[in-house]
Amino acid sequence: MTEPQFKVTPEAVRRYAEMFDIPLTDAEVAELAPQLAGGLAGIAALWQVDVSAVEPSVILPIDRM
Amino acid sequence: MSTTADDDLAFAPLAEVSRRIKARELTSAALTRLMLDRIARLNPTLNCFITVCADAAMAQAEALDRLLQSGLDLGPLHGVPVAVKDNMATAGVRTTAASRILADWVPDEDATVVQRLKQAGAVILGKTNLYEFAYGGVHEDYGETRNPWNLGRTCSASSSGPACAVAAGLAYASLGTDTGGSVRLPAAACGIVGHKPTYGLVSRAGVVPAGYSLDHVGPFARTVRDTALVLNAIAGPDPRDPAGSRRAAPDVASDLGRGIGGLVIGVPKRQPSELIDPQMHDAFVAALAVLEREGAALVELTLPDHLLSRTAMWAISASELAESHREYLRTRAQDYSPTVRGLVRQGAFLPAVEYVHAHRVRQKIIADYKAVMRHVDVLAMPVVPFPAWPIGAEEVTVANVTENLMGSLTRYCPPFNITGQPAIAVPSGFDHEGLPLGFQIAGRWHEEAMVFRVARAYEQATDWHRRRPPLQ
Repeated sequence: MTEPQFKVTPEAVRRYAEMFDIPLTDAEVAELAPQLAGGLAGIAALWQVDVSAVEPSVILPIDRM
Repeated sequence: MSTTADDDLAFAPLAEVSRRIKARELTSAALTRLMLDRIARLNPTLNCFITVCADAAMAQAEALDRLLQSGLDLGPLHGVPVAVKDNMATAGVRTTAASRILADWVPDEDATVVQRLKQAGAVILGKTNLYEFAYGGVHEDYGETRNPWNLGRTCSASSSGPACAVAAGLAYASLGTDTGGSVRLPAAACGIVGHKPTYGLVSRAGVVPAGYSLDHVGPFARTVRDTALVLNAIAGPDPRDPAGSRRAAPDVASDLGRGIGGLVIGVPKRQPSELIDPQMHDAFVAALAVLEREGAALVELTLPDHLLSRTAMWAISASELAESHREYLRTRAQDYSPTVRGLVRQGAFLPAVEYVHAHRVRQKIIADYKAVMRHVDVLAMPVVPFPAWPIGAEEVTVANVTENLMGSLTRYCPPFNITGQPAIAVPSGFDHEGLPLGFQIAGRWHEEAMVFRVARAYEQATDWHRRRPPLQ
């Protein structure tokens, strides 16, 4: 699969926080943006995994392992 | 002033003090008093207990002594003093999760695991320190737990307090939680045994969640047998835990002595991204030689990329943490430590698409591990890349490469939180500075007995578990 190219800017963080009612000061936006960029860069790699025909299970079906 | 006899008793195996209580050579009250005295003397330095339940513990111990005198024996934990991590609800006793947000929370009922410890006759000494909400970092209101082997070092994360209490002879066993390694990592850092059970084997009801689908409750003790005895007491179906297994709990203590002759132990090939301290690696190689000498066959194999598990774990746990903290994030954000506030906020920004995809990747990783586990009885692999780090460090240099400490720390543990397989960390020696080293043994789902059996065979062939930290 194609890896998504996440673009995390302070302005994008500010707008998302406003949209989803997450209170953030300007200083917190500046601090969070690079942290989030780092985290999302890692997550992008998950899209290299071929998950065709794999269904998610939020609770592990532990008795059927 | 402590005596050598008191120290010997404080560090005796749980199974031994249990036998002596039943033989009327010891009382639970005397043992509990010994632990409380040690806690009073050493906790100001170690900072491993947040709340000590001295009066309640003494009352419980005296009641258990009377019960035994009347002929009622509750089992191997009867009268034995233990501790629990402070993210497990305790009726009438504050449960802080080492956070300012829950600093004054006094639950009405016990977590299932606390109930089960009490039903098994264990004496609850108190609530032990941890990373804030068992996730990411220490809150300044509670501070770092100091490592009994070197007071300038941490006890690793996040179950620092319960591991420290056992390593320092302040409890005979304890309970921790493991979302990405938080039982196994501190066990290795403190030179004790720590077990992450099969997902769902031990109830999480009444435990403050970190990441719902990755959280496990697991025991610490100084020997494999003692750890097994505690697991026996807390494992089993619980209708209060919707993710719990419905299978009857296995007796993991009964099969310990069978040896490992003829077993096949999988040893993962080293992965390109893998950095490990040379002394930790040497100790692991030496541990493999012991297992081989005990009769096991070692088979090299390829595992899925550890970093993939770590990334999926982060995407899942950060999302699940942020969901359970949404209200606090809106109303009490300033009460978090900066580290945990940052992590919760990152989780709040992850789209559902990424969360669902991480769960699909998780299922793929599980399928890959199932395929591997068809060919081996257990896996043996490192548990942590380096020994306990200096308090306050944010980076670590391993094999001449400097990395973010938390990123590097969580390399070997997350795969088994992702898959839900049982894994046990056991001591495997000490580095040149006297810091404990360890490795882990992971098994197939629900095969705790096999994991404990291999760990016990290794322990019997070595003497690392007999050493004591240099505490005054």
